[in-house]
Amino acid sequence: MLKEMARQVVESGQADLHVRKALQTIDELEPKLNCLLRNDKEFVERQVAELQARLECGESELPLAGVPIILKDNICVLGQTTTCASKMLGNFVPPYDATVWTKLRQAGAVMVGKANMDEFAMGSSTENSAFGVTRNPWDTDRVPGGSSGGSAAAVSAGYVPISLGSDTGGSIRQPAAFCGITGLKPTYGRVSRYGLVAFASSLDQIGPFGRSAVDAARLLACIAGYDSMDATSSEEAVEGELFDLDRVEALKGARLAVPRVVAKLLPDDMKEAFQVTLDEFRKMGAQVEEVDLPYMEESLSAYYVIAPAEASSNLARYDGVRYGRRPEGDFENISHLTTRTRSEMFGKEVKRRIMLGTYTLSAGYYDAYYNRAQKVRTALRNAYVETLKNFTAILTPTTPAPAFKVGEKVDDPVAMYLSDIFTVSANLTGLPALSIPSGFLQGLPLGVQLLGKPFSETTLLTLARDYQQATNHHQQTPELAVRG
Amino acid sequence: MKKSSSISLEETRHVANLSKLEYTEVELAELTGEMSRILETVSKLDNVPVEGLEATLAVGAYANRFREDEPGPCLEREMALQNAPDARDGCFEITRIISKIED
Repeated sequence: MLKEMARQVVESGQADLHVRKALQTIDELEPKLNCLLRNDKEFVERQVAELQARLECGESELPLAGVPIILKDNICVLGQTTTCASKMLGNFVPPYDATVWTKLRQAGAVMVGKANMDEFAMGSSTENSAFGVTRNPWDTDRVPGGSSGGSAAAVSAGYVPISLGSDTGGSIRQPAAFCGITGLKPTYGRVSRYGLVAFASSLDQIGPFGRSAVDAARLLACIAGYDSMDATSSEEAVEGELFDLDRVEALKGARLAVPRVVAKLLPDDMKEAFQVTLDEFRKMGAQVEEVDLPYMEESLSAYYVIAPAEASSNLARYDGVRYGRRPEGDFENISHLTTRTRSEMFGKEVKRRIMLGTYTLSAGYYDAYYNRAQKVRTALRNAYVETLKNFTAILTPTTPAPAFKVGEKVDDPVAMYLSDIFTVSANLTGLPALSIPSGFLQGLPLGVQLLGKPFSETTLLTLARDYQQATNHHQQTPELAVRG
Repeated sequence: MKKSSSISLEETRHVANLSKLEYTEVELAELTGEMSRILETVSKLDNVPVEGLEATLAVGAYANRFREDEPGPCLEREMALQNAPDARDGCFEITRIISKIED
């Protein structure tokens, strides 16, 4: 779809061909869904004018020419308020562009909005936003998942064909599953994090959402690659095939590993749905085998030690001095100013994670929690690498259940954390993983996850593309988007 | 220190102080319960044998990369200050940190 959209724009020479439709859909559906934190029409017009000029100069190397896109609101865009859905950054205007946005603009994309999210990307439902919850387009009583809930819901509802999210423990894949779209967390280092507001730096990656694996691949191709501004970005070459996955041949002889523990972690209806997916893969000619993959339950424990620890350190920068909102009033001293600022401007979950991270990093507990979790991470990576020696990918459901109701888990952090059980391993191990729509349970979309070897995005996306050629789950659209 | 999977109210208060966060007594008590439940859940870490394993701090064998030590473009002062809650004379302004010595 993206390739065709960009071709239409280049051939017609009309920069706003698709942008108008996107703006119209946003106006119609946004009151029901609240996917966006900002939709700056003046900025859209400026981008359209700039693209129009480039088209008139005969520029044709524009893989995303005139394609409307939405960015999660933790990705910096020069001059465009970037809040991370936090009161703390409610008026923060970035003084520079994130590398991914520089690349997208170069590719001809037009940003039509910044997406709602859980505050500082901490959450699995988008309910932790300081600016209201986003609704799931399939059932507006339910959450879209999180933390990139706005980005996922916007694609699902047809605002835009593609969007960007960030994934620290499943924040792209889980909302992709809940909203019935395709989402990918790239290999750690595949995409530059420059200009992504940091949550847990050793786990964070920016990645694409799309209606299909082919579109997600093209978007990934546009944002991936080494960046001197991110010391952890990889010099590994970006495969050109990603731009045009339609032309890549079907993957033959795929071997998929299904961890035995999955069955134990699923309720019966989810187990049955997953069996159907396994049969679909078998019909495509893939070999599906059960394996013993240890430490899946423990991975969640490691994650909920490491991520808050890194967060508590990263969020120490919000001291009320250089940026961020400062409460009104007089302060006794600098410490009082910082404490008041943080206490009033951070939301409940962000504070809870800062507390948890500060505790596990504090003297006396460091070895028992943080250091041990980092060793478990090593054990986990060894187990995954060993399994992937014999398999193309590890296949699991993306989530243990479909989208839950708004308010259902908001007061129970432990229950909320459990929805990340299948996704956190990819972040801890640094491995790439994607979620693709795999059908429905009681009218709600389900997703399955393919997790692969380092830098095997092309293989994973090709396998996903093959699955999407054999099935039509990814083509289903929520009624709300069809009706308009 | 061996971890215990529960945390006391006093410990929570101490951690809040380290985190530069203030809570009411009611909030502190609630948070103490929540943190205890979370710490109990993460105690599954003890199920994994880790003897002889190195800690993975970050994935990927990337050594720190240094750029050439040459001046390049950087953020203009005005841009760097644009998000400051308070700024004066090209500086970030904070509350007084040195008090007058009273005679």
